[in-house]
Order: sequence, then C-alpha cells, then structure tokens
Amino acid sequence: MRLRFALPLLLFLVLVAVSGLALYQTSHGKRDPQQLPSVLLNKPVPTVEIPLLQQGGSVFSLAEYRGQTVLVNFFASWCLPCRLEMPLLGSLANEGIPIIGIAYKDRAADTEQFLAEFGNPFHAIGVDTDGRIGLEWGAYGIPETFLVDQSGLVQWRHAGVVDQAVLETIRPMLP
Amino acid sequence: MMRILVIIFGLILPIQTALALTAEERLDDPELENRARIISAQMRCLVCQNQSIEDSEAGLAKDLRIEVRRLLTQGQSDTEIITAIQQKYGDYVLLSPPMKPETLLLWLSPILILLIGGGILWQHFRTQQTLAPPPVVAVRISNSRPLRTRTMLLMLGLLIALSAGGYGVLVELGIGNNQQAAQLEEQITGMVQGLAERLEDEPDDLAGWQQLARAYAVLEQTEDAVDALIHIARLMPEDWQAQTFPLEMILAQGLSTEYKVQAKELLARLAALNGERLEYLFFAGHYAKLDGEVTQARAYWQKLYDSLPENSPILEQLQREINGL
Repeated sequence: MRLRFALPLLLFLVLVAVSGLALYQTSHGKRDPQQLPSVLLNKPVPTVEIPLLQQGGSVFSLAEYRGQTVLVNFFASWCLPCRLEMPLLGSLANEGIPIIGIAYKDRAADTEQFLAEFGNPFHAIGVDTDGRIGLEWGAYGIPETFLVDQSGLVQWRHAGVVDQAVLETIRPMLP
Repeated sequence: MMRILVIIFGLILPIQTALALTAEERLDDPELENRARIISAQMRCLVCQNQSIEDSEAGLAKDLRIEVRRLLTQGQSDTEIITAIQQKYGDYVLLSPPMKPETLLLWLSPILILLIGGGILWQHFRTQQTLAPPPVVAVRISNSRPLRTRTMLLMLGLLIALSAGGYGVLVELGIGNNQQAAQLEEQITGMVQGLAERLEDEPDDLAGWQQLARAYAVLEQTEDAVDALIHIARLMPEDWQAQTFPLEMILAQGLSTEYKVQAKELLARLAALNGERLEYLFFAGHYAKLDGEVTQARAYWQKLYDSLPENSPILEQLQREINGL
C-alpha cells in the first residue's frame, strides 16, 4: 500500500486505540477523568498547625501521628455527600485506624451538630475556617480523604465519597 | 441615540459585571494588585476546569486569589508564588503547561503535525513529478492547467503552510515574539511622535490631527488622544460629533474631573448647536452633577428622561440615576 494511504490510516488507528483504551478504563472504574492526581503523593504530609475544634485555642499537627497509618478527611456540615461516608469511616475507626477530621469552612456549632447527628469517627477534629489548610493540602473538593503512612508520606488521595468500592482499593495499604 | 445608550450602559456595566474579584480581596497597592491579577490569570480554577482563578466565582478560586495576594504582600516574587501553588496543586493548576518530559509530546505536537503534513505533501509532490506529462491534446480537452503551473502552486502552498506553521510554533514557544512586538511598538511610537511634532507647526491640518488622535487611542495614550480630539473639536466648532467624541472618551476613561474646563467648552458649543439633543442633555447633567449643582443636573436628566421613547431599556436606570442625585 502506498504511504499516502497508509500513514493517515495508521494515525487514525492509533487515535482510535488511545481513545478506546481511555474509554475502557473509565467505564471499568480504573480511571476517573474527574480525579486530579495529587502532587502530595509520596511526599511528606503538610505539618502546619491545625486548631482543634474542641479544646479552645489549642492546636495539633500531623507530625504527632508519625509512626501510625492515618486517614485525613476534609468534611463539612454543609456537605451532603460527607454524611454518606460517616458510617464507613466509623467502622474503619472501630478497626483501630486513626482518622483525623478537618472541618472545612464550617461553623463550630454546625460541625458539632453534624457529628452528633451522623456520628463522630474522628480521633481528632481540626478546623479550617478560611480554607487555608485545604490549600496547603491541595484540596479541591469536599469530601476529600488522604491516607498518610507511618513515615508521614501521603500514599493516596480521593476526592469524593469513600464508599465500599473505594475502600477496597486502599485495603492493602491499611494495617 | 445608539451612542447614548452605549454610554449609559457603559456607566452601569462596571457595577454589574466586574471581575469575580471582590472589593475586600483587592490590594491597596496598585502595582501589587496588578501583579496579583497577572499571576491569577495564569492559574486554572480546578473546579471549573477552563477558567482562570481570576475569572471564577468558585470558592476555591477565591481562596487561591487571596493566597496569591497574601504571598505577594509577604514580598514573594511572581515565580515563587506560582511555584508554591504549583507544588500543592500540580502542573494542572497552570493554564499553560510547563515544558518537561511528560509534556514534551504536547509541546512538540505542532512541529510533529507540520512534519507529517510536510511529508505527505512531499510524497505527493514526488509522485507528481515522476508521472510523465500528459499529451498536450489531453490537457486541452481536460482543460486543466499544465503540470508545471500546478507544481508551482503546490510549492507555493507548501511554502505558505510551512511559514505559517513555523510562525505558529515560534509564537507558541514564545521565541522572538515579545521582541518583535516591542520593536514594532517602538517603531509606531516613533512615527506618532514625528507626526505630533509636525502638527505643532501646522495646527490647522485636520486630517493630520485625526490621524494622531486615532494613533494615540490605539497606543492607549488616553490623555494624549483626548487632547487631540479636543483640538479637532476646536477646528470644527460646527460639527456635532467632533464635540461629542472627546466628551465620550473623557467619560469612558473616567477623566471627567481632570477635563472639566475643556468639557465645559465643548458643552457650550453643543448648546449653541442644539440644546435639545439627547447627548447634550446627558453630558450637561453629568457635569452639573460633578459641580454639585443637583437641581440643574436633575433638570437636564429629567428632560432627557421625558425625551426618551417609552419602551427605551434605559429609562429605569436613568430614573435611578435621577433619584440618586
């Protein structure tokens, strides 16, 4: 076959193959085009001081959790999907995995009421009133969950509800 | 009529469709604020995909705008700020992706497409050449151009495509682009300066002054443009539009206070020509308001209000302006 026919045909086939692969991955849940890769992956977790919800004025830092695998969950009382994942986070907490909640752009009283209503799976609850801590973490949507390993490196990030299927993907990383 | 509509809408618009930026975000230092806007314009709003954070009303975009300004007031450089945000949100936050191994294919794609296209054309050109020229009779019957003309056309097309593509690549890579633009601007500025100097000796050269005013407007030397327009208005005291043009420009650029004396002179000429026309009523009201002569301003605008057709879309706004006096 002549090059002038073969070349465009080849290019077209390559295009079809690439698009097909992407479509396959998307439809089989292997790739979510809405998910942004986190820059934090395999990088040390931000250790900025986070004000605590309960003890007025005191702060904590992720550095205190060095040596443990922890989940960090950005949530808010105004965030409807956050309600969905509270039971699952609760069962993870019962397994002994420390979960740190960060109340994103929320009023303290509203957060308290949210936790009273939908359960409190959190080992510690920080507050991020103006979204600055979210910026540190590169968060772009609530709920957003990070997995931090024993050496303080971010291993995984998920924007959206943590459901059973999502949980399965991180199972191997949990102790 | 159309023009006055445009002007009045111009007065309203800045209030209604300003930037997403809100007043409390804005920095007091205009230079820092300007840098903040340049930085923000380069950053993608992550939750709205193809808007910059400067344009977006999303909460995250607002947070990032505030963060940019906070870092600026701490004295960080533009590059430091961009790097800081890029380290948290990744390359995706930049509207223009950086050149690195992962993005090489993206950056080289114009060259690749050019090479492939050129290759196809070259192949085509070669097969054409190897064909024996058709007999002259056949050419006449088919009425097509002789082969040589066609080859020349093809080569010409190829040349144009290559140079256009090449230019596109240069622009995309940012090579030579800024330098060229700067040179061009310098040339134009030089030419305009020459014209201005010549016109100083020939104050009556109307065409020359019109050219100068246009040139200043293009170069965004607003005050010079207004001065030239005022000069033209003096040269043509009987021409209605020659008087309204500088008034509109003064208004649009927010220079009403600085040019009050000159504006009064223009208004006086408009009044002498026809004190009933809508433009005159609008501007006369505007300057009366500036002078704090509320009663007079109200009288002008009320008259304007009464002269407008009943279904005019600006009646309501005008009423509000009158009430606000």
